[in-house]
Amino acid sequence: MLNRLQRFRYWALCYYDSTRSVALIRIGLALLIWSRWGDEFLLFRDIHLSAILFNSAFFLATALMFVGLWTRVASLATAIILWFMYLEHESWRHHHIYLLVIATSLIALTPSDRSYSCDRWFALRRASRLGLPAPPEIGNLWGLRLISIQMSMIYFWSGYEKLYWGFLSGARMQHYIYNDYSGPDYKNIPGFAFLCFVSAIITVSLEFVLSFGLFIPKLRKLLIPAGIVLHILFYVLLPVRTFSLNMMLLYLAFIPAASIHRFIDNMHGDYSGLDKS
Amino acid sequence: MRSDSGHQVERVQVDGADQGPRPLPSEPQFVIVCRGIIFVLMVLHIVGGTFYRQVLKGKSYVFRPWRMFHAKGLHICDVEFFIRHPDGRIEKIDHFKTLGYDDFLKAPPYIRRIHGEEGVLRVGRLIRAKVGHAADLRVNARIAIRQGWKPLYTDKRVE
Repeated sequence: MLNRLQRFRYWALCYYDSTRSVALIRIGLALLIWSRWGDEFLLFRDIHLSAILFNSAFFLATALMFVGLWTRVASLATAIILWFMYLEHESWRHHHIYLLVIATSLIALTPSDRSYSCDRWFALRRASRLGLPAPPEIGNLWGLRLISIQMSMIYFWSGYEKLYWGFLSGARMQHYIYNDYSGPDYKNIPGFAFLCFVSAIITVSLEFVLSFGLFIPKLRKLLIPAGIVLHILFYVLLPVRTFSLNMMLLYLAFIPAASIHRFIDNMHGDYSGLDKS
Repeated sequence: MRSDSGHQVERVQVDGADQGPRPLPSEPQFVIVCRGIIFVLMVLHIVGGTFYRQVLKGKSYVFRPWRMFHAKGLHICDVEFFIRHPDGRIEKIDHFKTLGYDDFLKAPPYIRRIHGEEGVLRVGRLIRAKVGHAADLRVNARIAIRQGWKPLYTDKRVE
């Protein structure tokens, strides 16, 4: 038992590895946040002083988070602003908003400033000036472990919530189609009810398998593409807003950070200038 | 694995481009303890918060239930209008065409997406005005509830 606790503690709190994946998540989150609120928060939309100050703070914090300048503080500030918005505005209490809020909060716990950031660039210049080796792109990624637990819980509880006959029979799927694609008389289409039944069973099964399977390295290679296909279908078929894109971005939490680091290294070719002769 | 000084020196997995594997950085005990406490609190928030909302049916906006599309599509109706002729013949009615919408995408939302008993009767009254009062206009309808489809009207005459 003590050994297992020790292993869990090591898994959770001693994940020292490449910071490139957390930096990519940080940048992706900033873009998702802009795609969700950028237009709504343009300063001319509300010219009350309090609104202008709040919206300015929003753009400042998210922009600094995006470019990675004072990254840790900017990520924390963004998380605080998003929590405020989520708790204060009833119209923003949606699951896709909460996922942005919690993901930003958790990424603020990681050293995402050590890769793909202005902070990194300044650190490299400082090291170069002092004749020191480049600072390593390595840090404690315990925030990624929390993101992976959060994702697992999302899959588990959303699967749990669908464990009733109305959903498992495919009827709720039919309701979604009648609601969002209203017009045709679907019940006269051969196999329509069966297709809804099969897609309901696949959805629930996949959600439960993803909730645990993503932690198993052997299953991950199969489950990540399956999960991405599921989220792409959600994204194009249903009004899920930023939720699917956010989930796909957060899959980076399940891929070993070293693999992502090496993958990016391998993608880069040598460049020694163009031969103009 | 521990070094002579007691610090962890397990190897990290990433190779630097030219520096080789590095030992884990040693950190003050205070930082490690704080990180552990925050980790446990966050796990309690993530796991316990949803349990509190979804299983214990608690109410708090700080915790998030993961009930996607919980109420979506409820009360949508699957409707079929038809005319029963005196000779017993059944003539199904395409309510879009009857109401003058050859392309159903051009029909207003309340005709495309019929919600609840009121919605069915509203569209029924519009069709009644088109087919005239002499016709025996009838409707079959079922309504979406969480358990599936519930019959709403069976062979009901539309007045």
